Amino acid sequence: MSDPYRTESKPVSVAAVKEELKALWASEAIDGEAVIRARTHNLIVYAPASLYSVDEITEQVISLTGARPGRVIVIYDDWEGESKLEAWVNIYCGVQGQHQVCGESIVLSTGGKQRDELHSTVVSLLATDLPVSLWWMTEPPDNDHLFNELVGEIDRLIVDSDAFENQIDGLMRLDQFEDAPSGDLAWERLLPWRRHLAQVWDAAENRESLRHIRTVDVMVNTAGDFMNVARALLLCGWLADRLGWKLESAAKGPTGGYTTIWQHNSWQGKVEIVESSFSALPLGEIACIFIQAGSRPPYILPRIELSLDGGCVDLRFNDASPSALRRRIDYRPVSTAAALARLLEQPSDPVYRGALNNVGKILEMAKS
Amino acid sequence: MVENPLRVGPGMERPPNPVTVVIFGATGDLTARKLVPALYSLVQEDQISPHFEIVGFARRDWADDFFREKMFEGVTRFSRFAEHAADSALWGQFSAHLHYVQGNFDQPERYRELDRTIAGLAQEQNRPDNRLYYLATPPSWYDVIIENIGKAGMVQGENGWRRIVIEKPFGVDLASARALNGTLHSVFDESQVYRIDHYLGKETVQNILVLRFANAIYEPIWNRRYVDHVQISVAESVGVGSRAGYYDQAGVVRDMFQNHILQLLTLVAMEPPVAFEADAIRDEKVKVLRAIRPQSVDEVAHHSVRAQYTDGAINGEPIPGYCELEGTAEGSQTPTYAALRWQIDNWRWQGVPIYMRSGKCMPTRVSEISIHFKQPPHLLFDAVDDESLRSNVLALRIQPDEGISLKFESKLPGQGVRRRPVTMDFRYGASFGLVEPPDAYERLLLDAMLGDAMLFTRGDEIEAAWQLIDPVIQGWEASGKPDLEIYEAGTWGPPGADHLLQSDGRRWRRL
Repeated sequence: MSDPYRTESKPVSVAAVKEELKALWASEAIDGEAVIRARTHNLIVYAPASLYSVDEITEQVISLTGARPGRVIVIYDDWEGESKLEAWVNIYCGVQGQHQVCGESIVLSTGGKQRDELHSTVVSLLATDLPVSLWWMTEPPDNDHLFNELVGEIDRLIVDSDAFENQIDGLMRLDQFEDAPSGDLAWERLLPWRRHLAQVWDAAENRESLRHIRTVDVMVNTAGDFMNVARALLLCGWLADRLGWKLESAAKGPTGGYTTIWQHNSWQGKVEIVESSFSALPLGEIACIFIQAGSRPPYILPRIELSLDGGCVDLRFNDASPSALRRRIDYRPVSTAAALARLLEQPSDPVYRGALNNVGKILEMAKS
Repeated sequence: MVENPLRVGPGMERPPNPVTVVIFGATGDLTARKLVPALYSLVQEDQISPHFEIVGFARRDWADDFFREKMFEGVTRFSRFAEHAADSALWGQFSAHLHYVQGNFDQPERYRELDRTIAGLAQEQNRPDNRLYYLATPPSWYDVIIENIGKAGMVQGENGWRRIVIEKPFGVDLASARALNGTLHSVFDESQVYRIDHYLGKETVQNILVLRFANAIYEPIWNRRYVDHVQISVAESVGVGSRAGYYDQAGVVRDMFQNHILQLLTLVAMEPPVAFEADAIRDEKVKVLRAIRPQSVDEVAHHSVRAQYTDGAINGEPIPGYCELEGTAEGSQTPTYAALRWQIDNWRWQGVPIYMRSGKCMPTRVSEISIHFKQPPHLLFDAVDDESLRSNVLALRIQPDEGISLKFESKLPGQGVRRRPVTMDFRYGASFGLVEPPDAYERLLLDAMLGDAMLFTRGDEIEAAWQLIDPVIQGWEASGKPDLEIYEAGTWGPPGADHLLQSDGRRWRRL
């Protein structure tokens, strides 16, 4: 990625911002030939000043969206600061494979009362007739004028529940959010695990055991007081949704894990989210999934274990039996940039909605 | 449960059923450069079932381990996931699925051994015995292999499907293509046959269908009322390399026109299919081929140009002339460049000439289709220079830098009305940020495993193509006309190609 070209910050006039952007692109022309660029989306990014410096957020947004050309409008919100609204623009080009991909960002640095009326400025800066996504970098707020106004203008809300300060409230609010389709970067990061798990039941002869799952243990990497269980909860919610399980009970353990009991057919199954410490893994990453199923006592076959080890997932199927299967599968974690790209490119995912709905039920029941 | 309920939603598509890929000619270049690296990439991306096996069958006396070593070299050089192969556990796991059976292609008993090996692998894993036979041999072996597969009873299985993939060239003329189709159909049903043209696996080729049939704005102008002519150009910057022996027999028309260029033509000229399904699309492609006006020997001389490159330079590198290559016959008359002018006799395209050209040792490698629209019926503005030759052009670039561009006239800033053509450019990679798109073989192998024949050529399509190509070659041979021109390596072809269009008041698009 080339160094972004940036203009000086100044009080906001929409026309002036657009002019600045136009002038920057014109300055990039070589021998009269304009830089070739495409735009596929608008992305509004809301970043609170309490969590990031403005340079950090600009750099992060450029690196995350550099692979997908579009217009990014960053709202840098210092709501406890003085009332202000300043803007500057960046353009950037990077090489993706054999291709040059260019993007542009408009940073709106706001504070105090100015933020509440910012939505009209944001809306007038959107590139015409392209889908609009809003990436709200904290939990979706309960009652926030700017959020409520922006939500009315967007095609999709994007969040990262891995990064929620208060995951329980954040996920519950997300479950109740119905004003626009939502997408979660944490859900996208879960994709490799969901694919690996699904693979176990691609073989028709294994499929019957899906009806007889007795226990699922999901081990998630945690550290200290910060319990990041968003992905584990979503995985649990996904399994329950896809297998038609009904929640019977849910309880939060003393250290942050969850024990849930589900009803399916005439069976009862238990899903536990177990916190554990793995220094080599990022926080919130799933480290191991252990499943036992069976239609006859002792209800432990098939036994499936997927564990993350050295960049690969080890899959063990009925480890100690004659039908044992062991496979080592390359595990490539989904980067935030890739997760964001998927959310920008794909239509909303009803399977995610089903999983989130179950997460909401678990948290609600565990709370009570 | 009939379906896997976890395989629902974006990114969760189900991989094909377990399959054994049987590669005939497994010691050849194609296996190590393309097929096994493509299969390796598919495995790394979880696109195929973990219960796959690859069985190589060839004459050389290789053991499983040696075959695996050779394939390791290929994967680490040519796969998109080459660096992953360095993980010995991952490679070890993949390579455990590689097997080798030695046998001459004309030894029926070796096919029985091969059959036992494949069946045994499926049995060991307690899975269906699905098989994808891949002929990666020289075409001269196709008949022998197909017949022996049939004799060994390897075509029908109670416990799994059987499919066969055949590489181009599919015949050298209509008679040989018909004979090969006959051999195939005596053993396989047409629904089991997948004739591969890797060109069709390219993203932009598939994008032609999306451009035409997912956008309503093009259909009203995609016809004789608005289109002046169509150009299809496939230029290669390389020579014939180590293929001189084959190429000297084939020439540019068999090598590029019969397959790649005609495929592009059919996709551009076809009517909307009734469904996005293999046979619906292939039906429409065949209709286009059948609507192309046949040419007599005399007409071929008038509507075509052929040429051969002499020594020259590309990118400063000296290139020897075609006849100086080892493997070419002395005084070879094989064309390395051809330009053809055809007409399609149907309601949509009547009177719209289609110009096609392809050549070796051109200044750059580029493939594109350009739709040249008619000029405005009345020009309000003063024409200067050669402005009368300017028209709107919609160009579909296949490679490199896949994309679509539209050329139109624009007013130059300032006083007076001075015009200049400008180009609105859509680049596939710049819009979707493809770091490395899947290789065409990955897409096509996966489709064959899934039983999706949309990007494969049907038997009648092949014969219809040869019906058009045969008269060109026979016309040249019978009349010796047009004369074989020469062009310097590193140039855009012979003067005759320019005259072909100039005589119609047109010119080739500058590539």
